[in-house]
Amino acid sequence: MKPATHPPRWSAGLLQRLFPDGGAFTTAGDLEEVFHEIAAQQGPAVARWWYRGQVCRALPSYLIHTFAWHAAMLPNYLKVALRVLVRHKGYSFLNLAGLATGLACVLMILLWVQDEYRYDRFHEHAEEIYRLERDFGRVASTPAVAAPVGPAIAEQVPEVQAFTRYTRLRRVSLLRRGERTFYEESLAAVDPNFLSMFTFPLLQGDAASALADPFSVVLTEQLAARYFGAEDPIGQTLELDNQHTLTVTGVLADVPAQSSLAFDILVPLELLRTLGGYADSWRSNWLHTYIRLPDPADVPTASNAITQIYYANTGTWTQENMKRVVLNPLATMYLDAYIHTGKGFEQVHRKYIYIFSVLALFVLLIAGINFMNLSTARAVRRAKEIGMRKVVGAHRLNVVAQFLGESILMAGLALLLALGCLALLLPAFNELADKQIRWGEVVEGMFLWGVLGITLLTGVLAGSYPAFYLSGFRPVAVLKGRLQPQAGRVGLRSALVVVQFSLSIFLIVGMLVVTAQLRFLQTKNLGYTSERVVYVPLFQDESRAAFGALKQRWQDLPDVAAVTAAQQRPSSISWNSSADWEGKPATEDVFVNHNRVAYDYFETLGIPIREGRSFDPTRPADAARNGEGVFILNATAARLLGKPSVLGERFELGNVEGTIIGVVDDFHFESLRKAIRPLAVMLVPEQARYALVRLDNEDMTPALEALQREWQAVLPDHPFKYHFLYEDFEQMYRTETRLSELIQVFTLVALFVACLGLFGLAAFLGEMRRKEVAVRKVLGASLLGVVRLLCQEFVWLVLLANAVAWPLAWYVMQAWLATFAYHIDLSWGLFFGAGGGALLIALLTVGYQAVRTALVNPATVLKYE
Amino acid sequence: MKLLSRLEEFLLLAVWRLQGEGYAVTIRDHLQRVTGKKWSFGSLFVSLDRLVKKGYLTSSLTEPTPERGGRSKRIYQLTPVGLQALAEAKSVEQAMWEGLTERLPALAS
Repeated sequence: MKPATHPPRWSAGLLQRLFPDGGAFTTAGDLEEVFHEIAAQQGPAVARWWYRGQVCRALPSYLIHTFAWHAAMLPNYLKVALRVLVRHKGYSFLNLAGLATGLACVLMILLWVQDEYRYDRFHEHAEEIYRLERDFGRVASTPAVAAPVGPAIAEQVPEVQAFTRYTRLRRVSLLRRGERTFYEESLAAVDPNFLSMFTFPLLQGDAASALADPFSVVLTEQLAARYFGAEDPIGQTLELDNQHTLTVTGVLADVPAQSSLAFDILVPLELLRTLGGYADSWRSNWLHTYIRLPDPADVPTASNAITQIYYANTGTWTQENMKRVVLNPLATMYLDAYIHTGKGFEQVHRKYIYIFSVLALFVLLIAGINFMNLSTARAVRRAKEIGMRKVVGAHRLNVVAQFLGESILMAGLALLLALGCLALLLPAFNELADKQIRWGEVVEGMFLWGVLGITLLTGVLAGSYPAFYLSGFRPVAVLKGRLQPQAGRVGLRSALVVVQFSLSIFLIVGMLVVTAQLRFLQTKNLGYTSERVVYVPLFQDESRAAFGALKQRWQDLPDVAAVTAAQQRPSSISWNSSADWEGKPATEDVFVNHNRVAYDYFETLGIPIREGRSFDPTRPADAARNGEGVFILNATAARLLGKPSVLGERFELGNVEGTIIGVVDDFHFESLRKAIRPLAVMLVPEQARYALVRLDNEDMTPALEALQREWQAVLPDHPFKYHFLYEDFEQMYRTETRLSELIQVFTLVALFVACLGLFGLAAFLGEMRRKEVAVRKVLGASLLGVVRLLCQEFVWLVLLANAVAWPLAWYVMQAWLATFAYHIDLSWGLFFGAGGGALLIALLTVGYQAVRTALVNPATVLKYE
Repeated sequence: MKLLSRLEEFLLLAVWRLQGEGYAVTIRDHLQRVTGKKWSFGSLFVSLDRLVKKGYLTSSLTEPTPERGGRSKRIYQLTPVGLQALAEAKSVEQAMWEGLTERLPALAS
């Protein structure tokens, strides 16, 4: 009989899988024969259904059998795994410690990334809020917009449900309640509906009406405690700048750390009309406007409508230059934010996430490699067990499953250790990363699942190679003892060691370069004296007016060398205006930074005058008034003019015009990331916002106390506050400092983990070669010779790792250094230092094991032969 | 010696009757023809295996045949022990029926 049809393919395939002999069993034949019979009698469709039915009926018993057998083996697998773990305590410890360190790093990074991601998402309507930004076709768009935009949108764009405006006050305010007086820098002026649009919960007061009165103020809990202690702050008053009386109408819960909007004090925008600083013009872009747009599909329409509103109300300049108004979603505002880093705008927060993640993965990779290397190298130990399992009927897949299970078990144990480490190290990590992460976040739902997933993945990846390698042993060869001790795929193992050490060396080079650059930044001669210079902020009109009197009194103090004042601190002179002079190319705009200072500025800061003279108190015409004044340029600005001598030349800067009376040496008035730019200095003592005082004595305490005494005699109502100039530099290079600390930590951890692995590997290989070493010693080899023999393999590997890591490190670090206008040069010394350091550590690790092996008395090894 | 179950007895009888042609499919067909009931392979295999284990049957594989998708048949043969068991079952049954056969109503005819 020629079969007219086939049994259903899928069912037949399943049947073949179900039978342990792959379907050679006669039952399959019986079924097929009956299938054809039914097909002939009742048609193929009935036959197929019958066949499927038969297969389905076979399933339950199959499943029960396989699970029963696997379950039966499980206790045995566990028992063996635990025995191996306990029996080889040293190796187990190395493995666990490495994996735990790697996992702990990954955990921390995950926490950090999660924290970054949560930025601004705590607002109830976070997904519906957008910030208006003007796009000029540059990398970063500008969030500052004009005040009338919000009301115009409310009138003309129906999709927008609400708007609120927000601006941080640029000035520092003086708040007073009775005797308690503090300078407050964290004030924000907002529309009354601010508290209903954003979710900043009020502990006391009514969100809807708290900011309705122009002279109301809302404080955070922390600040309320500062001014009112245990008293009820509601209804109490605060004096602002000793001029205005504000009534406290609400107390806010402290603003979460994960908020882009950061403030301690909220005042109504209307208050600015009284304080000054409120501009109603369409041309004055000075505040941020947030809108609430419930339907995301409306974003393009709303964006277009707002752009048109802007064009209709502003001049041709905006129409020609502004591309459009974009709506920046609040939820992703922080991560996508472009921040000025000196080398243009960068998405710093994202970039940091990448750097952090790569470093953590490096460490985990090194730990995973340890695990693979130790497991395969020690395969010989387990060879007999595997052989035995196979002989009594284990399939290769059973053995694979057993070893994968073991590595997942190890990863699980490592996770427990890592969580323990994390609990201990969380405060230190918070400090390093500038975060406030609580332990509770670690064990929260989603995070824990993510962590378990990563642990599982680590276990599977680290265990996969050993599992497949070990399960491939041929039982006969293994049980006859023909497996060579060295047979653990030396090639791959060496490659993995090279990878580990390449990563380590890469990190060491990075660490050395970042540290060296940081030291360079901190110690470079800036062209002016920053030692023993303190600056005293003159934030209020009264303190600015009192500067003349203060200078008189301070100058006469014994330890004071010089006193001056300036509008901007010498560490960051960033204001600039377009400049003009005779002979300037008419086609291009040239911007020149400028600072307005008091007398003795260059003398106090020790900046040498190169040509001409400094500002002279005996010549009243030096002071810039009514658009006229004199300029002192830095050398870069003088070169810009392109004339042999610039003294006496006419110069125009912004709305001030006058002659150039002097040229000073260049000094670094911005971060060293930037090249020195042209600078013009004008004499406007009444606009100085910082008094600068250079002290004489190494012990500055008495001088500072004297300064304060004199201040209080002149300005009894204003607190005295001072900073050292060097604090500015710490602030300026905080990013670099943090990067440097971070990379140091990761480098040490990575190196530590790599050494753990090397230590284990060397110990094991040494043990394997004990007989060889004994024979060599019997035949007269020296201790040194034996040690060299045992070490040389690793030395080659580390040297090879250097060859891999150097070009990579050179490329990456060169790119990083290029973000600084002033930087160290990459020297061979750094690379040799890193390579040599890694080699030395590797040698110490391996050498210790080698000496131990070499010191064994040959008799104890050979007597069993 | 333990007594045969009804199914075991039927299977031994079927194998005996089929004379070297007895394998799962033919045995099942025979049972269905005689009893008029459906028999599943599963129930037959379990009993056949048990009978082989007890030594009442032997089994052997034939050459693979194309109409079975290239698979062998498992042919069953009755052993002398199996024959003895059948004889015993028969005599026990007769003893049990002794004097009762006549009392059966017309159903017997």
